[in-house]
Amino acid sequence: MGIKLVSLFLLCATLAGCQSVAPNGPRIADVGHGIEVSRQAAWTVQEIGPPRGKHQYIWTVDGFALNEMVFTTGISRGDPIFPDPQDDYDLPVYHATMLPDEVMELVAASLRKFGYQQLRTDSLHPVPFGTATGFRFSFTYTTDDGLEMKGTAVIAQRGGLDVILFTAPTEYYFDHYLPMVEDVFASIRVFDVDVTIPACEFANALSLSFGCPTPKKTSN
Amino acid sequence: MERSSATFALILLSLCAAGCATTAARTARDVNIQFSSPTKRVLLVGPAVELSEVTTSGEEEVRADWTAAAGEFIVKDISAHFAATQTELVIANKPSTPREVQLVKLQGAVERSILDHAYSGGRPLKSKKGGTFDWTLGPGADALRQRYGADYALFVGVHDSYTSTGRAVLIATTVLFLGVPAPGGRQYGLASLVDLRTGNVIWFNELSTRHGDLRTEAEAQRSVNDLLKDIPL
Amino acid sequence: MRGRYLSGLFLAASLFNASGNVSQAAETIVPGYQPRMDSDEAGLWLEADQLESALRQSPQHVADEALNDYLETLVCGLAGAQCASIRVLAIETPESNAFCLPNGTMVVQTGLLLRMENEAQLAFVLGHELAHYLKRHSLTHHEARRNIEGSMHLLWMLSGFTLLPKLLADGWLAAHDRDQEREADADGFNAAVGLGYDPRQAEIIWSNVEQEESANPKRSSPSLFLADHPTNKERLAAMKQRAGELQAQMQANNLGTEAFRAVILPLRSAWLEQEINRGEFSESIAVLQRLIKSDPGDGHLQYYLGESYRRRNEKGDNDRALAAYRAAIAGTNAPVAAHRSLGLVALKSGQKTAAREAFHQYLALAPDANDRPTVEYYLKTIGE
Repeated sequence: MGIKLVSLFLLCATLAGCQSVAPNGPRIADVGHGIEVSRQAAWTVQEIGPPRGKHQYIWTVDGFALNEMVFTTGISRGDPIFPDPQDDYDLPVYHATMLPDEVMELVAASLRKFGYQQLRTDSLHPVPFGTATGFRFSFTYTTDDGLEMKGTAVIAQRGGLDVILFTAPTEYYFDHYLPMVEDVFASIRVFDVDVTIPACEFANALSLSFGCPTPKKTSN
Repeated sequence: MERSSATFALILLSLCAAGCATTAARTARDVNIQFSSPTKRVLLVGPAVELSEVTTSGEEEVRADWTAAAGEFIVKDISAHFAATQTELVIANKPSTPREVQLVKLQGAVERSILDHAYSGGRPLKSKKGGTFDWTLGPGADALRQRYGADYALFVGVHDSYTSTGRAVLIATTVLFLGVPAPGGRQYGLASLVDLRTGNVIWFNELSTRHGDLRTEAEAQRSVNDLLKDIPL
Repeated sequence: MRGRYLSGLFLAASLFNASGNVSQAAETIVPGYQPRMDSDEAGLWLEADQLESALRQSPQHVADEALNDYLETLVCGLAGAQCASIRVLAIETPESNAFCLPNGTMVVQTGLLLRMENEAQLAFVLGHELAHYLKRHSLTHHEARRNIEGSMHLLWMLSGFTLLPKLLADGWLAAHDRDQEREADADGFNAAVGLGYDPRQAEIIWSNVEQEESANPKRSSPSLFLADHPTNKERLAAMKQRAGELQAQMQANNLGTEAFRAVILPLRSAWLEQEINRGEFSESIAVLQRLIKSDPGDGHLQYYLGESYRRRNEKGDNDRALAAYRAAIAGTNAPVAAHRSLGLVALKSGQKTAAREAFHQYLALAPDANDRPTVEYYLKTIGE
């Protein structure tokens, strides 16, 4: 780590779409909030936003109803996870004091507001998120048409919330594309401007000192 | 097997509004029709048929008699199409397992994606560069093959609407007073051919027109011919 | 402009008559009735058939045999001579509703079953919905709507698309709907009382609805003009009056509580989870508190009450949640998750010891829990 990588990152950020050496090989994609992932050529990218200054990226291979990867990063406290431009979905908002369970519930509650039916979450567990700690969980739901769907998500609280999720029909699509999704998750690299020790993020927010260093004042 | 009208209606919403011309059929690359047994059998899923009357206020109301008649004509004409190559058409029954239900619903989602991405005016996908037509239900489609003994399945949906007397009066009135006619009825059709051994969609067609009248046998024949345009089977 | 309006009105009048194939059949459905294939009613039945088929194939269709048998028997009793033309279909959705499709399918949503306290209350609701079907209200509503919308649509277009004619049409239709609702209330009430159900249960349904709705500070009062149901207060008053009249006459006092609970209680947990996932925690709290009165020791009810407070997270809710989880654990059949949620709430309020204890208890009771790594992570954070 250090100066070299940081300046490489800055150089990359100024170019439109950082290319890797092989033109059909995976590319480095900047998904906001200092996060980079590897993106294989098969993914088509759509950029949404910015709602209140943040970006959201949606990727698909065959169409959003068949496979959909959503990146929404750097969500500030008091903001909903997904954009609600007409403000009519009454979306719940993020608080920095949320425990990982509560962030998972926030994602679930938001998806329910968008009409995801019978949504159930499962298997919440800590995972690496670059050098930070994130949490991974799986979920199931059905669409309005009754098509059964599966999902998997990664969340990280880094002075702003990052949410990456993938959904696809249970029949064939989810299992078939999961390896590509795991590749994306495994490729997560995080460039933090301010480094906080991740295990203590919410402890600090709750003013619980369980042997965690006192944090610096951050703008978020 | 029934297809949900609600699903079909949602598919229709993704079709373009008034002014859409009939678009070309799409065929997958390297299609090689082969049957696994001497008995050549195709499964017909649907047809999901709905014929409506457009009321004065522009709403569509389903007509049971028109719908029943059109359904009969369509099945008869599709049967005749396959009979010309000694291919047997089997009509699917209600799904017997939850998985069959999901396969039909998945087909609906695949159709929506095809309409969104495989036609000009839609969003191109990087995985389908150069107009590659490559969509699938996955190998789970074999469940249908096992149940019906058919190597291929044809999914068909047709929606047609006709102006009511009141609507016709309104259209005449609005032309008189406002100089602009209110929209009348139109015919939409979707058809896909799936290889049940792989689940791959090997042919797809979308029909969209203001003309045609599925309430009469002769006109229904024309519409079915249009719908099955370029089908490789 | 005026000339246009007048000729528009004239045309509107002619459109009023020109619309639709109005059914000539009797006002009430009789056994074995089939509509003419070219009628509006046949079209409605076809759509109903398609909706019924979609619901039966839906992942939300409740297949539980005991529940379906129970509902079929109940609805059959209420339907009397029409029993053979009715089918029941239960759907797992949190809305408190039931409705009868024009083709005789009675759809019952589990949100309703969750809120009913006994068979009598359910009978009054299903009797009401049956009455809509028996009096063919869908059809008459449809025809009324078609008539009014045709002429109003024209007026609306000719008047330069102003809102007033549409509002008038909507208001007229709403009044028509309210009349239908009053008729269904009366017919349904009579049908249920005729089977011996306690007439006082009908008003209890409405006062419970009132209580739940008023618990939610965000709920806006619906427009009386556009409301297609009579207001709760009006229905409550009507029910009280009828109950008073009938009390004197009949010995009807059947509640059917035992039979109802035997079928419903085993299925309730899944429905409770759906209820709180609505995200209307104040309403869920009102419902749960009412259910707890009948079952104070029920661990599941107390657990979900705790979850509602925890997720609502307003001032004082943490303490209320803690109390509810403790009541759940002290009661019967508490879900193992009650310990975990207790741990979460204790952790958030800085009660390290209580949190540690609760998380350890959770892991002891559910050693194979698939979220074990997360609980261990919390324990590590607290410091063991």
